[in-house]
Amino acid sequence: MLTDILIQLLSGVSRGMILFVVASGLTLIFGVLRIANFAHGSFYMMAAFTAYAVTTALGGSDLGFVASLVVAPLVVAAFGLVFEFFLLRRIAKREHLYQLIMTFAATLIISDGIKMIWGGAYRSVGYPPMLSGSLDILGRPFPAYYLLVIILGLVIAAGLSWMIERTRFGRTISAAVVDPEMVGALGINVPRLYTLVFGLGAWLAGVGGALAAPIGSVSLGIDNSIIIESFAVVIIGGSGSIPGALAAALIIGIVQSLGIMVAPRLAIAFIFIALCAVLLLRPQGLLGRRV
Amino acid sequence: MNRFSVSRRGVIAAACSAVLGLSATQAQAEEKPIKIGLTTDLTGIAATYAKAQVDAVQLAIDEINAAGGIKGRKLELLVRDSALKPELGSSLTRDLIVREKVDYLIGPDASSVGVAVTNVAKQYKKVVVMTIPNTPRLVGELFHPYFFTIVPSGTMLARAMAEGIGKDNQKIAFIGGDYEASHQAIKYFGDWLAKVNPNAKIINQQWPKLGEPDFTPYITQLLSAQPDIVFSYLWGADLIAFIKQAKPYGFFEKTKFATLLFLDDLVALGDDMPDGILGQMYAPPFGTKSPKMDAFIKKYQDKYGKYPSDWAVMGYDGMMILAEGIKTAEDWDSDSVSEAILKLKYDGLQGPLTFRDVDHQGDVPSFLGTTGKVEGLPFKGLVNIQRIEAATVMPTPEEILADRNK
Repeated sequence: MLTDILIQLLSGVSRGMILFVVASGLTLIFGVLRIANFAHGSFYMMAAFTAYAVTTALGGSDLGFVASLVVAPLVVAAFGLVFEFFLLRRIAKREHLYQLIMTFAATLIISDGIKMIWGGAYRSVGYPPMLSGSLDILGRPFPAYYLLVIILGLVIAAGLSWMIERTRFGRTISAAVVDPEMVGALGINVPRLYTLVFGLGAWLAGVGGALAAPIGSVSLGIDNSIIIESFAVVIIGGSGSIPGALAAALIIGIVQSLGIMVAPRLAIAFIFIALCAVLLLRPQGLLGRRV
Repeated sequence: MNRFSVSRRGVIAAACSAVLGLSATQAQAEEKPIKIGLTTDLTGIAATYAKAQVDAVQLAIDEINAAGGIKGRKLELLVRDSALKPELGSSLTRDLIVREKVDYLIGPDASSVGVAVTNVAKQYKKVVVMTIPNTPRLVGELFHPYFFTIVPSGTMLARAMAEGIGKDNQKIAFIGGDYEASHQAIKYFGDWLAKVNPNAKIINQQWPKLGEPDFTPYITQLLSAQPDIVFSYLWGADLIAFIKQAKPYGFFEKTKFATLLFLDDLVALGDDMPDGILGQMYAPPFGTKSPKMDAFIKKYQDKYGKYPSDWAVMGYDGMMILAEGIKTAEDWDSDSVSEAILKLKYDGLQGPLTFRDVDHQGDVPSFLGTTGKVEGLPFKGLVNIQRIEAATVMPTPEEILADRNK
């Protein structure tokens, strides 16, 4: 029983890690640009399909997997940069509602674009051969690939924290989260900062999509559940906070995994219960700043 | 491009005949096309199935038209996208009938839309042949004389599975998406199990939501119940995610697994499909060895560049049945055509097919087999394939009537 819980816990952590990688991008964009980027789930889906294309082209080898993990996020990041630079920036001065509508339009365009390129059929990306087996944890098998997900998630969390605390770019980001006008007044090129942050956010969604591709199916519609959960992470964790996103994503992953053991039919409700609790008790999020 | 040149040729031909002053009225009256309406879910999770259905119906229509049509009239297909929404299924089908004046209908995709379409067909007295939806409600409370189906019903499939699982499996666990068809399936499965394998028990049930991205918790729950076999009513993207996630847990070594299986799932999973899974299929092309089926597979592949799915087989047969019904009917009206279809002895891709009076259910087979490499297929198929005849699993007319009068 205890080992059951441990395995469940670990799988919850790996699920939470993918969610963290995707949501950290969303929280950065939300914190810095103040845009609720509805297209974030579509970026994730776009990466999953790109990963499918890359791994199929390279015959499902380990190399194919590594290539997909490099190429897919870059493709999505490039798309994000172009999208921000040519479209979002044009309406940056308008009401927020217009930006919402534009990111929503992007979700429709991306999903139709994917349908045009790959058709409506669902696809599957295999695990990389090297990680297709399982590890033995207290006599129970645990998928090796999930462990990689957990490790990569931690590496990305550490990398982002380092970047934000130790680099000039990161400190500018933190400053922009608190007071974008002041950052502009200090002579920093805010529009360029916005474009870069948007690109970074898209890249993170891409890493999440490429990592998730071997675990589930690659199909139209995988953007739906991830975008809802990602927004939940942003709200629970506090907008713009990377440690907050990590904590929130892990809470959601673990609560959902363990929740199914206790009350399976209620499992989908847990995330919203957590959301309501945070909004009632700590509206700025677990690690967010009070505004 | 192609269409443009054809229509231009048509325009020129029309202009010529007008100039030459040919009286074309009589010829035109005879050549008025027979319009077939097809409302199906071209967007959403079942879009692949709908696409194969549309393609196969079009293939059948092209063949009939190439052979001169029916009684001198060509067939014309009108397709609408109901996007998995029953209310859209109703309004689009109604629009096809009222505004486009379609003569006959051929079946939609999702069962929920099927329910909507059959109600409209009943209201306007239009013959409809269903080729994908299979909820037992269609032959039950919703039945009407213009409805026909060539899909093994949910009841037939659940019963076939209950028998196919075998007497040596007594502890059975279930996993299925949390929606109507899945709940029906486990109910009919359980009822039939009590009859054919009374010692067996359903010891554990798991109900993930449709489109669940993470099956790990369900996988560990199923395994810790230590069943002899797991019966799954997952399909499509859900089944693929489940299989891929279950594999590294050694799931398929620890327990037997029996599941509903679509050809699309086999194609998507490719070599990742584990061997030795008990799979239940509707109408796989490789399930029937006959010159007719071989010719169909070739025609379909030549035209669309891929191997036909279950839905393509049923779509093609459905259209051919409708066409033969129209051809052999005394008149064009729905009552005559319905009567004619009921009398048909159709020789289809999967062999002979007839409809019975009580519910207009075609006596179609379903298939059980274990997954493995099949000669000549680029993906895994079923080996030791067993054809389950309708007669062994179809509800009796008494059962149908009792159910309808409930």
